[in-house]
Amino acid sequence: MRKIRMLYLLLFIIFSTFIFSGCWDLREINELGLVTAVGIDKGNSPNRYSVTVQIANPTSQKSSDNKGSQQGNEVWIGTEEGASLFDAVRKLVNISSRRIMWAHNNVIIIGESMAKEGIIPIVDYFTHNPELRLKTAIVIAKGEAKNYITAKVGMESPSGVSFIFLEGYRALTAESVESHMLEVSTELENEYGNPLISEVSLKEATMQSGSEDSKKKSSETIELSGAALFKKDKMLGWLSPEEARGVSWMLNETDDTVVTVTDPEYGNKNVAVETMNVRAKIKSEVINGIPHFSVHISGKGKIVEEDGTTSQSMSEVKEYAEKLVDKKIEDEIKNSMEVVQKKYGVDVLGFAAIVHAQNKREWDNGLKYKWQEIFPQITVIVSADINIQSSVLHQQPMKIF
Amino acid sequence: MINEALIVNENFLKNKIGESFDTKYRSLKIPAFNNAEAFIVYISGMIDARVIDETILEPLMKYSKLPQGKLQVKGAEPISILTEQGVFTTALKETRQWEEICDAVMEGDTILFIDQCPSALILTTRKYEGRTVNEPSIESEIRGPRDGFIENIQTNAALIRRRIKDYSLRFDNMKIGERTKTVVSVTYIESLVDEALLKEVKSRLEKINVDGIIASEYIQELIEDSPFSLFPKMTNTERPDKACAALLDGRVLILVDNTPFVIIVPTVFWQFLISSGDYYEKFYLATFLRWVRIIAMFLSISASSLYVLLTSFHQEMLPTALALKIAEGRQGVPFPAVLEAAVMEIILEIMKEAGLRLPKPIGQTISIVGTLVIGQTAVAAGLVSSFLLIVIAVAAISSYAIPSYTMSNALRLVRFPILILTAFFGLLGYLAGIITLLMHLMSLRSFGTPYLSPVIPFDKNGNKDVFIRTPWWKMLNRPKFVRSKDRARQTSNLKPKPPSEK
Amino acid sequence: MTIAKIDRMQYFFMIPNLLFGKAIGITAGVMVRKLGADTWLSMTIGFVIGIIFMLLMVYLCSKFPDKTVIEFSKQLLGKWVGGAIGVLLALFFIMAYATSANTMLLHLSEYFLQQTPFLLICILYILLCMYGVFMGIEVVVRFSLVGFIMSILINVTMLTGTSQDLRPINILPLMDKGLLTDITGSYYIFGDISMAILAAGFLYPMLNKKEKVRRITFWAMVTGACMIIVWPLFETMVLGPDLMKQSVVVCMRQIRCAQLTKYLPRYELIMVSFFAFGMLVQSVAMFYCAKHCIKQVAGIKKDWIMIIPLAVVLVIATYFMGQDDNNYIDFLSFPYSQICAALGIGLPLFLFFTALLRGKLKKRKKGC
Repeated sequence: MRKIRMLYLLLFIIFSTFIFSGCWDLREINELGLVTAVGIDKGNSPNRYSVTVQIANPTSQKSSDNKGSQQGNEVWIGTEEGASLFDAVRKLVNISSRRIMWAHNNVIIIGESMAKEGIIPIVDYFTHNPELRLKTAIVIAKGEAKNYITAKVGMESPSGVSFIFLEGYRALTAESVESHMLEVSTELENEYGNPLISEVSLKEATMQSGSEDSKKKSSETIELSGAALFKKDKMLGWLSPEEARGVSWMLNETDDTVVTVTDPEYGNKNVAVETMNVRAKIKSEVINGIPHFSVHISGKGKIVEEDGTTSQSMSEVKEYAEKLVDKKIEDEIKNSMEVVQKKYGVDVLGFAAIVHAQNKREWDNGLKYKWQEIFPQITVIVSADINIQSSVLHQQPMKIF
Repeated sequence: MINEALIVNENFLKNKIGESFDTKYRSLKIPAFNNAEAFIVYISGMIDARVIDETILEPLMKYSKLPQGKLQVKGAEPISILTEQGVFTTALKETRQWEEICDAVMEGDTILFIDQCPSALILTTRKYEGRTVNEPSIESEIRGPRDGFIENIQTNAALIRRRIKDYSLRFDNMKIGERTKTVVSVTYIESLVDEALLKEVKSRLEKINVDGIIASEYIQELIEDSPFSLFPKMTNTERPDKACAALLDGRVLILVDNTPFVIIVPTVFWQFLISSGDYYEKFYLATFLRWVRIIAMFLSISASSLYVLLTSFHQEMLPTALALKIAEGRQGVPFPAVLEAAVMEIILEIMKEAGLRLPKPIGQTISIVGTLVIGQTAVAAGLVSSFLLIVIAVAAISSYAIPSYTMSNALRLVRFPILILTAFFGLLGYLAGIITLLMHLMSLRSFGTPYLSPVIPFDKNGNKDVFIRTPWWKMLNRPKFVRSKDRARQTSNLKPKPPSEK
Repeated sequence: MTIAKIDRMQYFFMIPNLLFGKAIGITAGVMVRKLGADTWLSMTIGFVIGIIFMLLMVYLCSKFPDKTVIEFSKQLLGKWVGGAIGVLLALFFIMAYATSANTMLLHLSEYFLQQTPFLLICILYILLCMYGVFMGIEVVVRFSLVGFIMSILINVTMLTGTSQDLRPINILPLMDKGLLTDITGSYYIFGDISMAILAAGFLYPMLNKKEKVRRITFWAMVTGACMIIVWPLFETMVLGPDLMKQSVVVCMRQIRCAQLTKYLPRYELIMVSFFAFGMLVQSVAMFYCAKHCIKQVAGIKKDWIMIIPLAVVLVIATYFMGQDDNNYIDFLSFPYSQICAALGIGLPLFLFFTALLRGKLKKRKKGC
């Protein structure tokens, strides 16, 4: 037994010399550049990418607490170009003094020109990298993504962190779509998927608090509305905020979304309805080789604002508003269907998957191979049924005598 | 065998036990036995002088005649007469063995030798100076009895007797230690205890052959299973209520003279997380407190390792806001987080140790110096990050939330290897540490009982008193892992309910 | 030598552990490449078949209550054939260990410790397993309760974390590639079930009570199967079959999508920490069985003579298997799964028929 013990001891000593020669993965948190937002553009020459990162700079966070908003100091922004994304990212080390860490990245902003060329490199790089979450938001920028990294987002800082919150409330207007790395990569990999990615644009900030100095630095803020439509990895064009909303209804991506309708009984004044638990049910039926879809939107709603006075009772208003809301939703969907189907002819709504699931035989026997041609021909019947249940706090509409 | 000649006996004794200043030989003459020569021997610090005066010397010397009249002082007769009518001491014993006599002297008895008598009389006159029963200092509780064991085994036994008046409560004494001859008492309730367990305890105690037993911890180390393990496999308690509860479970106590701590065997891991106060509070609170302790235990082992794991290896796990806060705190700290943590842990250990030994008035100074100098100034100077200080403090406080001092000491040592492993292998190192620890715990046994029972191996009944404390009317059986002869603790349907309508 | 005894309850917790670790991430990935969205269905079919053979194995063992597979095949088929089966099983367990260990190591080396040399992670993991084997099967089996609880915790956290991203359309239409493909493809899951089937041949003799073991085995298998099938089901619903095909470790990609509110967006570390416990039980059990096999074939009495050389062999096997992830996954889809299926189905059947022919099944013992 003693010999065996000696052997163990020997093994242990040999092993520990291996161990104590280094800590391979040890990286101190303050020596990492925590990326909070990244923008990717096309480089100056073909097949080159330009990467702009926003790195949170924790040192100046403390000082910013006492001294209002000192924008530029809270983040460090760097741009590098490289033949591959990885190359460009690694080159950032040349200027940043910190190693890039993607784990806290919240948003990937892709420049318009880059998106038109193809987003495969981006999706591939970030799914390869174990640091990045798949729930990271991905958006397409109008123009250069670079400019968006320096722009202001909402109220939180750094602006990348703020973007999560911005993105978290997108469903209130539903004027953009849910586009995370997960959805985008799934759509890209999918045999019938085409991604739909939210759009961001720069907007002149109208509200400005703080000193003159900061006004100059960041008078622009990022607005999340609209969407970019892709055919596989290449961007085809934009959907306006209204069209994006029409798509959102079908993709079940609305939540507490407000629908405002004009009520003639109110003297053409508006009624705002907040919708809740909206579900879209899509059914397909193949007749003569052409799929027909029926989209049924159902949900609840409540009246949150009445802009006019009326002598009608609340239940009458409700009834009226219900019809108008249904109509409005149907119109929005039809409009966006028109654009998606006729203008672009790309199935971004996953109708192919629905046909496949519901009409497997027809799908296998031919639809599969010519879906691209068939898609513009499909018909979609839309019906909406929002049940307005409550008129928050008010028993009667406002009356003026 | 003692001699008949008094002088021979006296010389023999003086030779054997010496003539130290406290060893007193007092000669006397007994009028009743024709002024026969006699002497008593005792050790002055260990006897009750009043008892000797009143019950031995006074009757022997004052009364000139014993009822029987004059006697020839020859043979053993006088001794037996004295036993019956001569001295007033409550306990006495006639003997001829030198060994017995010497032992008795050493224990504080008084020995009476009479000339021409072939035997001597051992008269119990012990009285030790010692503490009186007072509140336990380590295991203090908010509610519950306030008495604690003391150094005197007699008193301790009495404290147990006071609580358990069962006829089958047994104290089996033995003397351990070649030189200290410490009295060790194996205590159990005969009708409950598992015979095999009792036999095992006794045989392990009998095997001990050492010079001396100064405290019960000596015994503990000598009879423990897996002696290399860090973890205590026996409970030490200074609370009689806890000891008695253990007896009622069918466990065995080991009482050791001169130690205010009683050993309870067998002991399982979870017992260290149970305090006797749990039974004096509502069971909801007790259950909640147990979970608090479990969390505290986890934190005390791994708070600093988790800090290193999260800040130096897997920063992605931190929420962004927290990550930025920590990074901000660590800005400019010149050491890696591992070193920072290790140094702070060691400083904390030094402070603990220093605080323990210092006289009370100075102890406060240390705590002020500790908190102000090490805490605030170090952070202000940018040597350590404030977040780390919070982590270390949490770990330190957590280790005191564990009711058992011995267990918290064991865990105190465990955290260092885990910290080192984490520093080299990140997640794998941390998991390796925790898993090794768990496997080690699972391999342990305490007198045949798996250390993690009743959880692993699982026993439904035993689990009524581990993670949750069920009310007393629910704990119908004694825990299975103690293997008591009589499983049933009480009758069922004890749940209080209002008198029925009928 | 005293024979370690296992509680039946512990045996119950052991079986899901033997199945769980590799199946949720690696096997699901292997299967999805062949079967697409029907992976979960095919896995279910595989489990139904697997349970039948598991029960057959336990039935066989119950005829020879105190003997391991090797011992009773020696009794049935003579010393040499029995020995050959023993050698075969030893090789199987060594491979099974290497695949099982690599599952854990892949998680670590791909996601957490990218810079640490693979060999070192390998050695540390095997040292950890070695410690478990040294402690004996009793400790391993006791550990399985922890592994079981942890596996349940992973399932719960995964379900809560991904439930918001479920897209049921991904698993539709059912049986996209046809029922036949699903059935024929189901043998891939035997890469995991075989471990349980063959390990049962070693665990059975150690059970302290043998009543109701068949029922316990059945329910343990069902529990394990349920815990596992949830994964491909959810993975397909969240990621879609095509994204699943792409990744090496599917369950990790699944976990990368999970988030508990925006304040705790990351799961990986939590999941791997939970995962390690169950995985370790699997690895240690394979190590132990390999050791036991060699011990019975070679007739060596003392454990420690074998454990260290065996550990060295395992380090080598694991290292070479896991060095290149793609080769490892390819190896699992061919030929490992096929070998496992052949062994897991073939061995119980073969022994059953031999026993039937030799009339060993007739003398029923009470309480089996």
